[in-house]
Amino acid sequence: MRLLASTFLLLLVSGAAYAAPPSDPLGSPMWADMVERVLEGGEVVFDDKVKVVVPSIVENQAQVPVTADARALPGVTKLVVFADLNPIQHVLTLTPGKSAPYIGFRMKVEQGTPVRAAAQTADGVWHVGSVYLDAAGGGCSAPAMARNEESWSTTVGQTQGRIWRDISGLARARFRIRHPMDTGLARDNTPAFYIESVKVTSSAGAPLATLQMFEPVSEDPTVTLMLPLAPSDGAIDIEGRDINGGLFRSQITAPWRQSNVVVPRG
Amino acid sequence: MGDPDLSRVEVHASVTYASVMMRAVLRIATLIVCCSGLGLSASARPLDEVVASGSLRVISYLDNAPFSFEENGKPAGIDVEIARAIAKELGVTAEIVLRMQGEKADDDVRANVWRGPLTGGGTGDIMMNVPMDREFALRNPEAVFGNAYFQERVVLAVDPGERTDISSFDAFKTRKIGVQLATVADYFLMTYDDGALIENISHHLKPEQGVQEFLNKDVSALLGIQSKLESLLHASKGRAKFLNPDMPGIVRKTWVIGMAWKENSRDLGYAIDAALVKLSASGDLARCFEKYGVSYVSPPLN
Amino acid sequence: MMTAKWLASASAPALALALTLSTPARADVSIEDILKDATTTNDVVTSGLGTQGQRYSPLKTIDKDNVSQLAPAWAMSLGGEKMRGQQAQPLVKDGVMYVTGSYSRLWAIDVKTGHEIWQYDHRLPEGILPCCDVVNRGAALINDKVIFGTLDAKLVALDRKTGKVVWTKEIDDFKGGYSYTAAPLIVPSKAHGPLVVTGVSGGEFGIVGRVEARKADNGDLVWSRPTIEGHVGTLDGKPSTMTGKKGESWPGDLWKTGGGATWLGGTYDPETNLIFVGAGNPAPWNSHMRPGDNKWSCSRIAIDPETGEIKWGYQTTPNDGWDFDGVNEVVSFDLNGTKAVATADRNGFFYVLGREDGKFISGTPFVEKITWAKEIGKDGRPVYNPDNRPGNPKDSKDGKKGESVFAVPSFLGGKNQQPMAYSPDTKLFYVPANEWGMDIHNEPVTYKKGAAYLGAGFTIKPIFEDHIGALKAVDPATGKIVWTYKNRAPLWGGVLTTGSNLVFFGTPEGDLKALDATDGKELWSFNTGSGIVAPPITWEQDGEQFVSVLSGWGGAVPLWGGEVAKTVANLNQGGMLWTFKLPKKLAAAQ
Repeated sequence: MRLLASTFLLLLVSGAAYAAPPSDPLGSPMWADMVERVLEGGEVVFDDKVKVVVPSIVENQAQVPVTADARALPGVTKLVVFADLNPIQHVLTLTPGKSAPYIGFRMKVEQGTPVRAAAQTADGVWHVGSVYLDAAGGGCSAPAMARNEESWSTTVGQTQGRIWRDISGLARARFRIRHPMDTGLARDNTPAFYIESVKVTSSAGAPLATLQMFEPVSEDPTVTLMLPLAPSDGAIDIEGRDINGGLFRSQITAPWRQSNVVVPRG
Repeated sequence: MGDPDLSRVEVHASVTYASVMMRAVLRIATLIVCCSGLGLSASARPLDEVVASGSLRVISYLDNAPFSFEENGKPAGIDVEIARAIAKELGVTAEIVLRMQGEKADDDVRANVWRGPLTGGGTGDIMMNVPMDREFALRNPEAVFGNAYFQERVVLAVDPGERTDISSFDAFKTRKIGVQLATVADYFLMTYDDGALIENISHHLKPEQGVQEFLNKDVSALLGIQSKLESLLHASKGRAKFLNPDMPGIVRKTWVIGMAWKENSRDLGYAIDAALVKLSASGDLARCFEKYGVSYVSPPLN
Repeated sequence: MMTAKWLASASAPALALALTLSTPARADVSIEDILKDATTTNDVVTSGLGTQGQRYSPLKTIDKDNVSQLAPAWAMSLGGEKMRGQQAQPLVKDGVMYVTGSYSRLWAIDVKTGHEIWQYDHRLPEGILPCCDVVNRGAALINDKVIFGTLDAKLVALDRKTGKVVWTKEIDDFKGGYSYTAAPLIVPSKAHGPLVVTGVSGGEFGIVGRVEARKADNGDLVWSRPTIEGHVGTLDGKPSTMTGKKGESWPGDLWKTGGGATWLGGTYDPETNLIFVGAGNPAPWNSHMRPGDNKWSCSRIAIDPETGEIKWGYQTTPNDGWDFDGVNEVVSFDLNGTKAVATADRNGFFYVLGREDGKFISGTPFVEKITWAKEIGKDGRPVYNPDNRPGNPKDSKDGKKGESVFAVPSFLGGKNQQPMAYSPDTKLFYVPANEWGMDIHNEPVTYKKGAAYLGAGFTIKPIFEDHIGALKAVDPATGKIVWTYKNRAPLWGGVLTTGSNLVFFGTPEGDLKALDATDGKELWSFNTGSGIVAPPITWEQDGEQFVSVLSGWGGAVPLWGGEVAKTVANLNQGGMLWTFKLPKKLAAAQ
């Protein structure tokens, strides 16, 4: 009866039935919901080629390092990271373009939760890698550290970063944007206030990657991306935008511009 | 930290709710859980609590050089140095918050000492740079005022090579003088000899602007607070000599600054007083001032 | 359990569908919609129910006979612990209400259900505005955007459909004490398309006030107009013309730091194509230090929306010595065939001026026992009572404190920020006035940032035993007070009047009231649960007439001391948006 009712409604609403998602190896009570809300239809498979790396012990629930890596899977158009049992589940979405379907960053967790990366290939199929993160909790509802620093507004948007040449031929770029990334859940009534989008382009203007972020990304987001930056390009431009309309533009210069190392064109 | 087990129970209970409700429900659940333990106390506290927490929260003014200002995003200035020295004496670290001023110092005492700003941020354990004034203290019974650490005075700054004899303000009937708008010094100049100087008075809103005019020789003299003039000249490597001509009718030529803390934290005030006495005796207090080019003037004993 | 799961699996797409079905198509708000807002009854797209600011609606469904049956349709809480003063006038367009609240928040609400569609919650820096309350007085609609100012002095334009930020501009640096609380004004311009006009709020004492116009599309600054003589405006990024002549009515160089803040926004008259804005009090406090008129402090100025040029100015309180800010709204109306404006000043006088040239027509008291001036002379200048100017401290015995005087009105004014209404039917203005005075003295020493300044001391006192608030019906042709409705606590919300000769207004006690516009008789009252300090609106939706008002006690009001505080001692904070209508069968019977 339960199944019937929901199927009926889904048919009514969307006009097309979803294939039932595979059952979750982690047994999360939210899995079915997550498929529907975060992955919004499309076929879903669990796939070892999509890796999620988290530490075995969480030291700081407000700063949990996460790496989502779907480089083993060809033709990825979108990489979504979510955590089922977080109060806000959707963490970020990377649209890699020609860059690698790879992202390293830090996130907040409210409690132990599955952390998943879903890589969508051109055929619309979601390839999901999952890991269970064991954590004590509290990361989302603790006020941002910036709460007691009345100067957050003077440093907001300041960006620093570095670019390295990676063995794969891509450029590994890591940058940090100063921002409180308030979740709106802290008990001090601070409203949600976070960077919602980050665009990375080459200094020549070529789009490299775009990133959509949500509340669970840690304060002062620190992001690692693998970008197809030509050796002739000396820098990347980063444009971040927060939900109050704040725009933060910055440029990170590639060190090989100043060095004598000649990197052959690949 | 909130109780993680309690948190987990709440989450499982709410899974049966509609998923769109999930976020809202979890929000409430986590709020309930976290109110129990997380977060920081930001109200003024007695000495024991300050010592137990290991940190003294000190509030002073933003944009009030040389006493407190931001330098490369970090608090700096005489008040900041003194606060750190006091915290060290108490065996705690200083958490220093610089905050905008309100319309009057009374508003600042309300925001920084006993009620906190409406927009959040809380009060401090102690507020610096508060005038020691009987009427002011009577108007603000929620705070205790004391621990005076400096005496401010109104002086006349002129070029070190000034040859004219400026023994009276009549000299400014024929030459320009700068003053900060609406200060007691301004009132003295504007009403001097029934307004005889008005056309030669150049008003500025910030002492920085006044010192710039003085260095540019747009004005031949400045009437203002010695500590500000000394430090700004020191910072811009300018020089001046300070004169004290008779100021007939000036309503206040000197005043003392000290600290304010919450009425229920008197023992904290005493402990800080003891620390100040030590700092004064060792000469550390005077060095906090000298670092910013300000001559230390100890407050008179009442 | 079953229902819950059923909802769980279906809810997200179903909700998306429900939203598309129930949310009406949202057409753009054109500049034409804004200019004719006073006559269209199915929406409220301007602050003031029309850019002229008459706060008059021609609607007649709710009338003297049935208003007693007026009942709540819905109420929505503004939520959180963020209560405090709610001073905004709601806006309504295509079935969606837009309303701002304390702490720089903005909501879009379905007017049929009172359910929130989206909320924008501006992230404010900690510790801003240590002294003041955290109010907002409303938003502006234009095209696909809703625009409002924030406490950290930013202007934010949101997409009306999604609540997402389209553009944001800094009006000024909040660290310099600036903020923004007034509803922005939208005006047409040939050269730049619709403009968003704002003033400035706050700022360090002695900062010069200004009016600014920005393009509605992207927030780019078009022109800026300082309010004090001697300061040069800008147009298209270049210096334009000087306001007045340098220091003409100021001693020495005091014009440089003259004040004249424009914190209450303005109104616009399409017939004369003029923006009307008021300017606040001059600096420094002590009027003895700045002999002269001190223009254009405590004044109304008329500005050309194309260029930002001043077309005329009229000063209500020359050489102000009582802190009578001149910011109160200027309302355009027809005075027996003459294009006129009226304004009820802080100083207790009700002024009627020529709309095209600012020529003085009349100035009459709208509160009782005014002491600071005997009258407004035929030349439009106040005839001062020299004895009622706070004394010069210099002339006092000890040189410490100037002679104290009891002056009426108090510095909070015969009327403050709460807007009045005008009915073209009764030809009367409905002025939310307050009867109070103050002990005032110039006191030499006050402290700011530890430094010693000159200040003024005030103590506000009621002048009648039974009331401070007084809603007055003023005849602009004669200056006569036709009727008065007395209220114990001071009035701090605005007024609305309708084509069925009703006057709506709220009280700090929390009651939304309807009076007979012809005689002031109370016809209906409803307790909203917290004090009302905001103006009501009315509009028509699917053949039914609605009335909405924000309830939420706060603003400058709770800071009052002494005798006045007693009248508001038992009022509690809140934050609720109320909407009323007639029960359906009653409305249908009309």
